[in-house]
Amino acid sequence: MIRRVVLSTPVVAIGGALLLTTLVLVVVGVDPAVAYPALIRGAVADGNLEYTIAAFVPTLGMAFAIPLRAGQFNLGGDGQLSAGGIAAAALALLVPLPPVLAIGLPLVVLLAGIWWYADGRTVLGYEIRATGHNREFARYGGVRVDRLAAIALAGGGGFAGLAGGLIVLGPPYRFVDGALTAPGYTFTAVAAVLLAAARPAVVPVTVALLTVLQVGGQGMEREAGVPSQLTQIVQGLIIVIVAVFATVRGRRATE
Amino acid sequence: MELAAELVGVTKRFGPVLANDGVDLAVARGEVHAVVGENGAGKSTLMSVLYGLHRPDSGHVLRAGQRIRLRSPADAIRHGLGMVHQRFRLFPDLTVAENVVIGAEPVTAGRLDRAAAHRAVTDLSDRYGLRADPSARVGTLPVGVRQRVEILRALHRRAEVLILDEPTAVLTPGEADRLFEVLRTVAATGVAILLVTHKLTEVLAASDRVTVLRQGRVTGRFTTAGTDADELVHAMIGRSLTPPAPRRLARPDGAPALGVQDLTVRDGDDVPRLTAVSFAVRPGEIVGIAGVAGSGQRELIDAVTGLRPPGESGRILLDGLPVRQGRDPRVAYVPEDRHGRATAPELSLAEDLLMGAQHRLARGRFGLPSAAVRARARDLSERFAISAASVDIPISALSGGNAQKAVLARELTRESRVIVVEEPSQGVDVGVRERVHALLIEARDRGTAVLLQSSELAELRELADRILVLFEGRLVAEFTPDATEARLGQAMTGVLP
Amino acid sequence: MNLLEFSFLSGVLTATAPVLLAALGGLICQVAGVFNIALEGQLLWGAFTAVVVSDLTGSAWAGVLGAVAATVLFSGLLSAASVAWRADPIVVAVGVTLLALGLTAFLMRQIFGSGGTYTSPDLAGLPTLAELGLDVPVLGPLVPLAAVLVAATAWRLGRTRSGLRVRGVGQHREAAEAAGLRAGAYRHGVVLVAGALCGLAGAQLALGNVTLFSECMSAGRGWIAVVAVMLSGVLPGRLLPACLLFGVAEAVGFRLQGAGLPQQAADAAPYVITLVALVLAAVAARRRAPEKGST
Repeated sequence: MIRRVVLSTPVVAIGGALLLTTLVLVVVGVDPAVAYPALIRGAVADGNLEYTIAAFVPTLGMAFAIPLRAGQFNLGGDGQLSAGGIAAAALALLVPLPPVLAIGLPLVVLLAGIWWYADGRTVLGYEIRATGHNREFARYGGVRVDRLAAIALAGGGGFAGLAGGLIVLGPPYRFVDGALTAPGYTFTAVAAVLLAAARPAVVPVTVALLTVLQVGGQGMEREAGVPSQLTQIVQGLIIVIVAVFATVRGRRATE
Repeated sequence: MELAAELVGVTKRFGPVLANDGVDLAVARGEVHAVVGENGAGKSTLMSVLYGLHRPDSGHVLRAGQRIRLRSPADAIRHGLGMVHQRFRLFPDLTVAENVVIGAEPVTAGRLDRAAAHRAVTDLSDRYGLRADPSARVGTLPVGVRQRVEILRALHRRAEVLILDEPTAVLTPGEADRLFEVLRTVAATGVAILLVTHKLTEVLAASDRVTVLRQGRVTGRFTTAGTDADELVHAMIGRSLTPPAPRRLARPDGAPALGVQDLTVRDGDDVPRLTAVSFAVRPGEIVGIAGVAGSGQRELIDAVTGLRPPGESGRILLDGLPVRQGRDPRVAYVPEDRHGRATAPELSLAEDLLMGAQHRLARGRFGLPSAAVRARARDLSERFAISAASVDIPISALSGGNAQKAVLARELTRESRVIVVEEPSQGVDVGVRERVHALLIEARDRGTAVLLQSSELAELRELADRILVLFEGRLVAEFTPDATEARLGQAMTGVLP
Repeated sequence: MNLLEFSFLSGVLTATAPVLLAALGGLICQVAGVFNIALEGQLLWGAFTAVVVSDLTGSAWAGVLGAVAATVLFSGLLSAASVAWRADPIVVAVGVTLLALGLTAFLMRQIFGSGGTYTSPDLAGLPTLAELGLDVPVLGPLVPLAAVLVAATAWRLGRTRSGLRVRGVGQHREAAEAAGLRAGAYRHGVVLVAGALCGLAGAQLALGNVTLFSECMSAGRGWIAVVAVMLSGVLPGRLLPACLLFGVAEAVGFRLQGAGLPQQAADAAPYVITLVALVLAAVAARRRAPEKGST
């Protein structure tokens, strides 16, 4: 029963967001039966998958950067991302680096695995979670919460920088003005982390989902003539729905 | 006798706890009607039902013989009910006049009529002898005056039934006597007064009739003139006030495990909250701390456990060595605030039980095997009779009593030489209370030094080997457990030297 | 009067007005105990709907009314999420702002057929006061209205029954309910009023400051408004320094761009100047507080 309750938030959020999106499509006169297949093709068809992965890597990197697990929010992600990008570009000028697709995906997958292990199976992970759930409880238990919060924020900043580096070192292998912040990696990552309630095993799934949505949105724009900004709408809806469900569930748990 | 309000067959459940079980209660115009019972007997819940704060699962409310529906305090106010809450419901940044009139404000030409509001306060003050400066900001007033503001508000709303929930908990004995005089004056105008309390001396001194609750049910109805303390106690606790079971005496020995020397703590505004407090707790004894709420208990316990940031003077020694800041692991601590401090409600039972033992259970530098964490939790659940469907459910899904047992299980197994306990039986039923007491005695007999803070004098007298009394941040007296509640009460209110 | 000086002054006031109106909405929420940091999204939505309605009807006033109505409606989502369901205000603000960004960009393409910036001869901008027959050139009518609304809000909050109740609800929800006030209704109300004010702010931004809509045109003004609210000590009059500072910085940046400053630097200048000044002010205020002792 508990498991069902835990699962219900992402299911409700995605279901609700899809429902509302379909409504938007119908209102603006687009056949969802055309739009959704176009969206899927846009994300996973030959040649497009590379773009999806190229977006998945930095978004997952950014997801590590949000220390929600420690009860903190880091919305300065775009700035850190840019800093990382600039640093990586500078580094690449000095040292020859391999193309990012070769190392980017394995790197973030490895990091996701380490994160999952650290969260559930280490003292640090436990203390971070305890702090995130109830800071005063952690302090009472002897956890040095200020130090921990600083570690979480700094670690998050590091991951954001890494994500920026991965973008710059990826195709088209240069520092492009706006390439780091325009695609909204930070917002997508925030939505994915909220959706997964910051559980490390679920975050890669939600990131993949939202990345498919985002990259596929461009395919949908080309094929069905639906503006790709639709994906921003979906993300916004998901965040609001998740926020509401998280508190409703939390209140039910304490009552 | 003209009935002002009646509660008929009121039943109210909170999860597994049956707070009210088919309660009938009638209060007449012009009487002071005491509602008594131990902590947790269901008095506050019953009054919350009458004031529209809780909706009963079954039963209903009659007002002047008519059945009324109460969905909110607004409904209750409209039906002429008023309430003075135990924890005041006042706006600290508004003036006395604003606090009194809010919800029924005098308005002239679209504007709030401040002069009229002030007049309303002065008129009521004069009529009932409830002195309060209408233009004073409520946040700056002493608690006794704040209580008057709540009463004034109810009177301004023309309440015909006035509920007071433990009104004397925050008052000095002199202030309490003044309050009872005021209640007499108000009742004389035909208002029905419900006085909720657990202090029998007050009941006998100030009421006309008494209804006694125990474990959510009515166990007695009396006219005050025709009853006495023994009869009321019997109805309240189900037995007569015989001396508690013969207690095994403490055998404290050796040097103090906890030593507090000349401790002074000031708050952010540089107001002293504790002044020159010194005492010691030896291994194998329970030292009780008594005091009116806000007398420095919070500051003392935070300092002893190391949770209070530095900025205090004096010394706290554990086995002769200074306490470590940021929570000293040598002290076990059962906090009063179960959801805010003692647990993280959304973590699982196993994870809540883990706090403090995480380094002990870690394998190597990084690993924290979940099997070991859960096995330990199952072991503790069994030893301490914590009933939970599984150790993986959130601790918030447990009843208050089980959550409290979990906190005790975690802290008692720290094997500390000192254990600090705050309000150990608050919000738990009688069975758990006995179990908790037995565990504390056991710990004492094993040679642990126990520092016990409780607002329940009965609990202190039952458990403590010595009782220290805090008054305005100073230790003013020390008693043996056979001291009467009256003498303890006098010391707590600064009457006794 | 020197025309140059006057046009600078009116530039300052015009740049100030949208931020001030949005901040006023945020302040009312704050007084009632609702932490509203979704002003950016509300403002952007107001600007967009003002342009759509004005473009459809050819009337700027219809645009203003449309923006107010549409933003009140949009704020219904915010009030449902953060008041009725008591969701985390920061998370809701992120969601609502993202939603406003996405919706405006999406609908812009659907309605006007292109992204980026939209302007058209059909799009009616707000008249200046001079055009309305008043002897004040350049300024639009919503600019003095913003000042009037600040004073009216201060009066309403401080002197009237509803003001007292809103303050009470904000200070202590349980106390308000115990006093028979419907706290939830007041909180819903203030979020919707904030929506109306952000609708006005958006209309001023898109039909007064300029006559066009472009994606993300709120450009952080809503965040500046949030900061202004935090520094105001919930006194409406104290919104003015922060908002005017932003107005001055934007007007100066605009001048400097004319004098050859790169556009990016001119765009960033008002935010940098405002934030730095506000942070310094906050630090100074905190330094001063302990010296004064307890409050």
